Order: sequence, then structure tokens, then C-alpha cells
Amino acid sequence: LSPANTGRRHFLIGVGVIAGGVAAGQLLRPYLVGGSEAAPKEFKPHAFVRIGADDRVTVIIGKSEMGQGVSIGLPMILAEELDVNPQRLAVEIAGIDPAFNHPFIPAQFTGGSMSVMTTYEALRRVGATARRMIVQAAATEWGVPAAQLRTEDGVVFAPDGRSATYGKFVEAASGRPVPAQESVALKNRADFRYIGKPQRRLDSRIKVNGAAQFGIDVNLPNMLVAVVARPPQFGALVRSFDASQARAVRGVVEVKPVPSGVAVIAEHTWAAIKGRGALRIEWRDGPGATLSTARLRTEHRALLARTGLLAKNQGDALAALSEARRKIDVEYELPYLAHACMEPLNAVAWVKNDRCEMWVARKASRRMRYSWRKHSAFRPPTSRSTPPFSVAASGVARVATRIFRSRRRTSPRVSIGRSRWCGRAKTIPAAATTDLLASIGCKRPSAPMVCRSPTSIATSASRYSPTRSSAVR
Amino acid sequence: LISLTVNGEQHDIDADPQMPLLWALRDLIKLTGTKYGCGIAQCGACTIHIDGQPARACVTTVSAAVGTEIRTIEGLSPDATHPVQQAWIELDVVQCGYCQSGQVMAAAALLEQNPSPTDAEIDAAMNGNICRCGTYPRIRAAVKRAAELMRGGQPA
Repeated sequence: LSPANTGRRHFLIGVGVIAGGVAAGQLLRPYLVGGSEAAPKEFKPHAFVRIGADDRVTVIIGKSEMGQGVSIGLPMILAEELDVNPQRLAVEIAGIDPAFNHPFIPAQFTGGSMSVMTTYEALRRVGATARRMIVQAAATEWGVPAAQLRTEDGVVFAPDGRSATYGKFVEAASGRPVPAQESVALKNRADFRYIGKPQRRLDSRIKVNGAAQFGIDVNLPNMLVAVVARPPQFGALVRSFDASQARAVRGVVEVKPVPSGVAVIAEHTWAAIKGRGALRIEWRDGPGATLSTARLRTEHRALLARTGLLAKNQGDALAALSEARRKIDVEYELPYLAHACMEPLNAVAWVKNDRCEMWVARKASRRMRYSWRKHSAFRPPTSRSTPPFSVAASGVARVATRIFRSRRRTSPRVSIGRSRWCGRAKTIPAAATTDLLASIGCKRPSAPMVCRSPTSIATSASRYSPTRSSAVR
Repeated sequence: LISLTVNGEQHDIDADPQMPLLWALRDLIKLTGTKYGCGIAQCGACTIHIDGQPARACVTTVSAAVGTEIRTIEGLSPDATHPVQQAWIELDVVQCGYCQSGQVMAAAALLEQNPSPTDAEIDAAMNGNICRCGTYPRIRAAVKRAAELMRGGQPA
């Protein structure tokens, strides 16, 4: 669990635009520069931020926007130190890139209410560093000491009245060495313009006009859609199935058994769903055959009767209870429930000759990668940043897997899946995707995989399930 | 071929007449703003307007929509300036956003028929639109704000 897990290699990938960038490596070890190439007239001192000659400031975040607000929460922290009004920012959600790993856990994921807590300092330092470099470039150009310049909302001001927007200094700043960490001062809290003040979300507009692209909205040319008929019981297996009627449905291209059930692959979603409805499947019991709500309850009750592990022992609880003036005796029971996010879980895969690209609504990118490695013959994803704004979903929920591939005779196209299977959903999209790929003969040893985020915002993260708690006196 | 009028444009699609309009919109016409949630008219994510009335695209067949004016979230306004969209942005209603196309369309249809709905009327009209993030209080406030904007209120 080394915080320096990203290593030098990742840093070097994106460092092309800045000379002397090695210093940035020391600046923020866990957050080194990621893989995306900056356009020529862009200042990209770090994986978290790009400033264009057109004054466009783009903040790249490695967290999934699931509604919780990271796509404004994190950018505004960076914007504070950069001195840019957060409302003018563009926000991109990164693909899989170690530059966005958790500082202490070698994984890129969104969860545990840790996004702000674990990136606050780094975002501020990156913003402050970028601002400092812009100011130094301005100082050199104007022949004024940097200390005499001030900034406000993307504009540098000189004491003699001259001013210019950050974009003017993008080229000059790109050629400057990245200052060392200790030399870049952070603002005093009292000077905060944006942090601690309400900010409107930046993703509202695209979410009220239909433009936001969720995972399930990824549409590629000649994409096929697959849905999976999954067992009515946990862990049940396909004994046999009759696909003759399913195949007769117009638009159905293929029916294939997959580890989680039977996949119906079709030209569009409706044909796939209709085809799935026409399947006749005989299931055989699996390990979950005797699992039921009643049995879980009985088991949990039995566990209550046993002595548990001691986590902490402080004071004398029993004595305190016996002296209590008022005693409340209540039991709470929570049923076993699906989180039921509104966007069916899904994934899109594009299998090409030498690689596979995927769009996945996910909150644990790195986990996708591990899962991929485990389940497929493709090499795990390469570092690659993604197109604008993206997001993810996940959670324990209905699972839908959506796979697609290009329409080529030599390599059969693939699919989508949607299911009512509940369980360890975090690993399901990847597993289901790769299982499906494997089942249609798409194994292609050592082909690299590129993992992309859907081009826009996410789906319900389903952190809180609408659980019913029953109190029993 | 089946001819549909969506957001004022005619689309000729090759589809089973029984195909739910949702899939014709999403998969054939490539308008993905209308969302697939449950597929059984229980969540409201696929709410569109058919001849001005709110309808669930997942249970409306393509054949039933022939000859009607279909409006989807993409056609509500050219630039997110419909009062409902403005109010939604102003009050930061959205969170994950997946249900919001449906919420916005349901709210727009409500205000079309009832320019100043009460809380109870809003709740009744929006009852079939589920939000997993629980944005209901803001939805209610934004419907009222949209009503205000429609009566000539100034955007904030």
C-alpha cells in the first residue's frame, strides 16, 4: 500500500508539455500526471487540470459522479487556489489512470465519503501550482516581479494597470519548471472566495435537456445489444434451454449460454428483451437453492444467541442499564434487499482486432481492471484518459451488461445484458461482460483493453436502499 | 416502414408495430435522453409527451404513437430555456440525473394543464416519477418556481 504506487512511468507519459516537470513528481507523488496528451496550446501542469489558450479551464476528476456532487465539489477546491470562478470550469471525468488513485490505497474508486477528504490537499496544491506558474510567466513577460502581481477569476493584474487572462500565458507557462512543493503557498482560509460558499452544480443543464450521456446511452455504429436471462434463484445453473422461439424473433442475432445464464444478442434492445422472453430454460439448483428470507432470519437469530467477538469494552454497560430510569427495548430487522438503482447496470465493449474498448458505468475503475484480468484473455486496460464528463453507477443492484462490438464477419458482434440478478454487483459488470465476450469466441490473447467512461454523468449510486426497518417490541 | 413525428421531425423506422416507443426512440432514432428504468411503467424515467399529454414510452407501442406529435426531453426547448428546465437548474434539483428527463417532462405537462398547482396537485401529478436520489422536495419547489417563471417571473 505504497502511496507512491503510481511510479515514474505514469508521470513521464503526460509530461511532454512541461520542461523540468520532474519537480512535479516530487510535489504530489500519488497524483502524478496521467496519460492524456495536451493539445499544443494547452497548459497541463498536472493530471488534474488543463488551461487552454482560449481561457478554458478544465478540471479532470478521478471520481465518479453519481449525483453526490463530486463534479462541482472537487473542481471548486482546485479553482479556489487557481483563482478561477468554479462556475466557468469545464469538468472531465477521468478514465482509469493511476494518477487518480486514492492516496493511500492503490486503487481508483469512489466511495466511503472520502472524495473530498482524500483529495482536498492535492487539489489545492495543484491549483496553487498552476496559478503560480501562470503568474511567473506573466511576470517574465511584463518584466514585473511576480510578487507584485495579483489574480482574480482567471485574470492576472499588474500594479501598473495591465491585465491579461490566463490563456495568454499558457504557452509560456508550459515551458516553465514546476515549482517545488514547499515554495508554493496555499491561501489562508480567510481569503477563500469559493470554498465554503454554495456553488451551483455544473451538470444540471445536461441533465435537464437529455444531453447527459449515461453508460446505457453509449451508442456505437452497428452495436448489438445483449440481455441475459438469469436464474430465478441465487446461483442456479442452466440445465438446458430451447432457443428456437427466441431465434425466431425478428432482430435476434444469436443466443448463447453464458456463465450467468443465457444471453440473447440482438440488433436492438427490444428484440433482445423479446427474445429473452421467448427462451425456455430449465434451471438446476445451485448453492443458493435453499437460501430464503426465512432461512437468513433463522440463521441471524441463531448467531445472536452466540457470544460474539469483542470489538471494544468500555465501562460497565450492564450496570448502567440496570440503573437507567427509562428502558427502551426495541429490535430492528432489515430485510435483504437490492439497492435498485434506476439505471440498469450495463457495459459496452468494442472488440477490435488487437484490443477491446469498454464504456462502463462504474464506481471502482480499478476493480473493473482486476476483474477483467481475471475473466478475460485481454490484457488489462492501458492508461488513457477519456472524453468529457463521464460517470458511473454501481452498487448492489440489478445487473445489466451491455456489450457491443463492431460488425465484422471475422469476429462475431456482441451484446448487452440486463438482469434481475442481485448480488455482488461491483464485480458483475466486468465479469458478465467478459464472460459474454468469451462465450462468443472473442478471446484474443494479449489484446489490450482500453477502459473508457461513458461520456457523461451517471446513474443512481444507490448508497441507501429504501429499506424498511421493522421494530419489534 | 412506420412513420413517427418526434419533436416536429418525421422519422421513418423499420420496427415491429408492437415495439415500445422507448426503444424506437432510444435505439432506432438515437434519442437517448428518454431513459429506461423499469420497462413496466412503474418509475416514470421514460416520460414523454404524446399530443401534449404525459405518457410512459416503455409501455406505449410504436403503432399507438403513429399520427401523434411525440415530444421528448430533447425537444422541450432548443437550449434548456423551458421554464421547468430553468427552475431545475436554478434550484439545483438534479443529483445523479437519471430520472430527471422524466421528471422534467412530467412537470412540463402538469404546468401546461395547471399553471399554478398546489403542493397536493404537484404530488399527485409527479407521483409516478421515482427519484432514487430523493430529490422530491426540490422537485416540488422547482415546479412552483417554474410556474412563477411561466407567469413572467425573472430568472435568478
